Amino acid sequence: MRNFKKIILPGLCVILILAVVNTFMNYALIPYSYVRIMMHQAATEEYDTVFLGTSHGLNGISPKIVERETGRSCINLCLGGEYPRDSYYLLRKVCEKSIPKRVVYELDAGYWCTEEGQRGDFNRIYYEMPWSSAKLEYFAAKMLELDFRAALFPWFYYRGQFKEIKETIACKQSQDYKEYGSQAFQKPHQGFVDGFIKNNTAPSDKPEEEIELWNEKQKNLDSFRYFEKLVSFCRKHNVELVVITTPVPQETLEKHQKEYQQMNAYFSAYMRERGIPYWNYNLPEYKMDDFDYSLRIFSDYEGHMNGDQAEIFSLRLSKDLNRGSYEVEEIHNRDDN
Amino acid sequence: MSLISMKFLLFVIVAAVGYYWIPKKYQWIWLLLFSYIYYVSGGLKVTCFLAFTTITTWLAGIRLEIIAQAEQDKTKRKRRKKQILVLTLLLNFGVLAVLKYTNFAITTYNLISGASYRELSLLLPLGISFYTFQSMGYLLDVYWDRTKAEHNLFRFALFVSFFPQILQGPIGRFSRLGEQLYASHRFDLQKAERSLLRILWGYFKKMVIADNAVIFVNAIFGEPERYSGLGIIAVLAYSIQLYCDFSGGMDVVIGIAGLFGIQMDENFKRPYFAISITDFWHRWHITLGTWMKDYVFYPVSLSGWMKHFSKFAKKVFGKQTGRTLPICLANLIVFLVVGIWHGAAWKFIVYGLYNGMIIAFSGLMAPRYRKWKQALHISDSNPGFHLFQILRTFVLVNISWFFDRADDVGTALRMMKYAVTKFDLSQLLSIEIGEASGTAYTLIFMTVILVGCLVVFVISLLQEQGRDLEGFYDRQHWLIKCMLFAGLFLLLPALGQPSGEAGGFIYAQF
Repeated sequence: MRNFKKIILPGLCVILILAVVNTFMNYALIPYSYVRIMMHQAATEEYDTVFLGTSHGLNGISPKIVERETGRSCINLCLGGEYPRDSYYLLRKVCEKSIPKRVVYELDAGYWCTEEGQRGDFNRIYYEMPWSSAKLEYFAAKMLELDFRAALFPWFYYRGQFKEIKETIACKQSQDYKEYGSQAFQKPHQGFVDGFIKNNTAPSDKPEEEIELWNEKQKNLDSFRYFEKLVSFCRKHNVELVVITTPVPQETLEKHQKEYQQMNAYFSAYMRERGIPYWNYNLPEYKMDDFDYSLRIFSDYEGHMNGDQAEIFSLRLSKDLNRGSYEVEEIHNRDDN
Repeated sequence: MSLISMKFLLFVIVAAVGYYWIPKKYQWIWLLLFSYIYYVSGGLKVTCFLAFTTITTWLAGIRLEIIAQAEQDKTKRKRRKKQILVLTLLLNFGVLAVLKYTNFAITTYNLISGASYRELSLLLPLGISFYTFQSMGYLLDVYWDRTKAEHNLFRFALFVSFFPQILQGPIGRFSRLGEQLYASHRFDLQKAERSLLRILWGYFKKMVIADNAVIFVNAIFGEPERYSGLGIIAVLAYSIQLYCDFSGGMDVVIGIAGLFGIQMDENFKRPYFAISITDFWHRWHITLGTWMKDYVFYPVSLSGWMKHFSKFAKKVFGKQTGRTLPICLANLIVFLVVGIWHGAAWKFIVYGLYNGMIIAFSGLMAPRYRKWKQALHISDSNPGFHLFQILRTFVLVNISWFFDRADDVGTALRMMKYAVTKFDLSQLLSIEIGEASGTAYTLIFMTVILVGCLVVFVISLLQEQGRDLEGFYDRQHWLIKCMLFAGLFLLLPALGQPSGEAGGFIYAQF
């Protein structure tokens, strides 16, 4: 009784205050995100093809087109800030519902040679992921290493959005939110349409930006470790794995030719060693005739595609996926020789 | 494992719950186990260095005791003890010097000679400066018969590796810490409550004040030419950042040790209320200051060559100055070591010497100051004079922070010049908080820092006046205490900055 009054009751009281305030702050500060839709779909539907990777994949791969062209159900789980560690646990989450037949991993080498940050959508993956053993493992693998506020108070990264509290609450009370709709993300220049981000940018000159380029000396060993886990997982469950790199603007490619060449050489050899098909759509033999590679057409210098480019790219990707990984590799090798 | 990571939080909870759950006689083994788990999580290679220091110091301590008991001949005993001491000091400080200062030596040599030797990529074990100083302090205490040698290697290993303190101190003394580490402890609710509150208070200082201040510090010190009008603001922000970062870290560490019933030495005593630089060093990083006093200042002051120098100085400069000069010289040596301890760069040596010179100068001028005060009828108890002394010391300390924070001595001097010649407060609002938000939150962040400082100032003032704040807290209703805990906890995400992006705890990199 003494313990209850002196320790347990006050302890519970503190936890209760924290839980109530935390729930309210999460609700009021964290805006609705398409990650919620993705997580809902991943947890409730079965898919044959799963796309994993970064913002390049999110902006460049239309799962609807690939689904139509390949006849296989698809989901795009590529996100800005998604490192191989995140991809691995996203795949684990998908597999809790059903094992896909194919995984397409979109590789941006910048994520393999930089430290995992505490920004981008990564916190959303954890926050929106429904409770399951995959989420618990993800917590142990990623969130444990982070600032305790990131794990305990997900609204921490959105505390600056206090001015938008009214809009956020209104949005979360709407029917669209309750039904996992995407109306909230339809903006004139960009929208979350058919399971990916469709950019509607008009052709214009784009300023040069600093981009994360491949640097072998600064390899992020965790990225390699988790990719290996992803490979083993796919092998164990008989899932076909294909790795791709999406096209970037010609100007960017020319400016950083050396780094892109080094990246291609490194990852081609790396994937070959593991028997994984690697399609780099920046190589001449993978170039698409009807795809405009000029910087004016892309959304930015880094190479996020606009909607039209994404459509062409998704069609080409579907064709390659239909051909089968080995056939595409053969074409690539033939052109090489 | 960072002190702010979720992993560390869970680690502490598991360690503390288990500590009171297992039989009391195994408590110290439990602490040793967790201390090594903590250290090994930082890498197995670096643990070898910790083990090396532990084993060599433990062996040397036992050997010193055996010689002291077995050797009858006083001269022989003294000589053999000295051999063991010097060898162990050389081995351990040698490791520290090689790992920490080799590259500094290479770059300095390259600069002087025009050579182009490449820097080496060397491991720097976590907390090496802290655990080396703590272990060598123990060894010197055994050498001087101030403490008995610890015969159990594992007990000694716990003293060296105790996980809350290994990263950034405080530098503990075996006579005080050892006993507590090996004793059994019963769970004490009041102590645990106070410890938890202290941990939260430490995180508040670090995350809400220091991590917000660092944005301004990094912006201005990073581009001193662009923000040339903000030299004074930069150094003031740095003095806030450094104090809240380091003392906040200490609060966390001391609070965690308190959860295990262990009371560690205090490392801060409201340093910005100091009335002189000497007083400042009695209040700032106290355990380093007392270590330097006991193991460097006194041995140097009482050494044979210093006695010769004292005689010589008395002959040349007269009795008064002759008596003070050796003390000044010893102080200069102490602060040269303090500067070197702070880092492998010339700016830290200048920082140390600057402090040493002020203390030496104050020592030499002390008789004159007394005369001037008498002539002007100024009493030390005069509140106005007391305030003047505090402000004067604060200014002098802030000058030293220029050397501590700027990239190099040249930049520090340039920023000091700008602080006087180009002062322009309007530049403050042009500091960008983030790439995306620009200057939209600059004013908000400044307000958070100022309000946070005001809270710290009021609490410090009450403590300085001798008010019993812990007693005041104890008397509150439990519901109010709950609100305080929850409120303080919630302020960390609401007003704090991501500490990882702010660079973690400054002293955790020593």
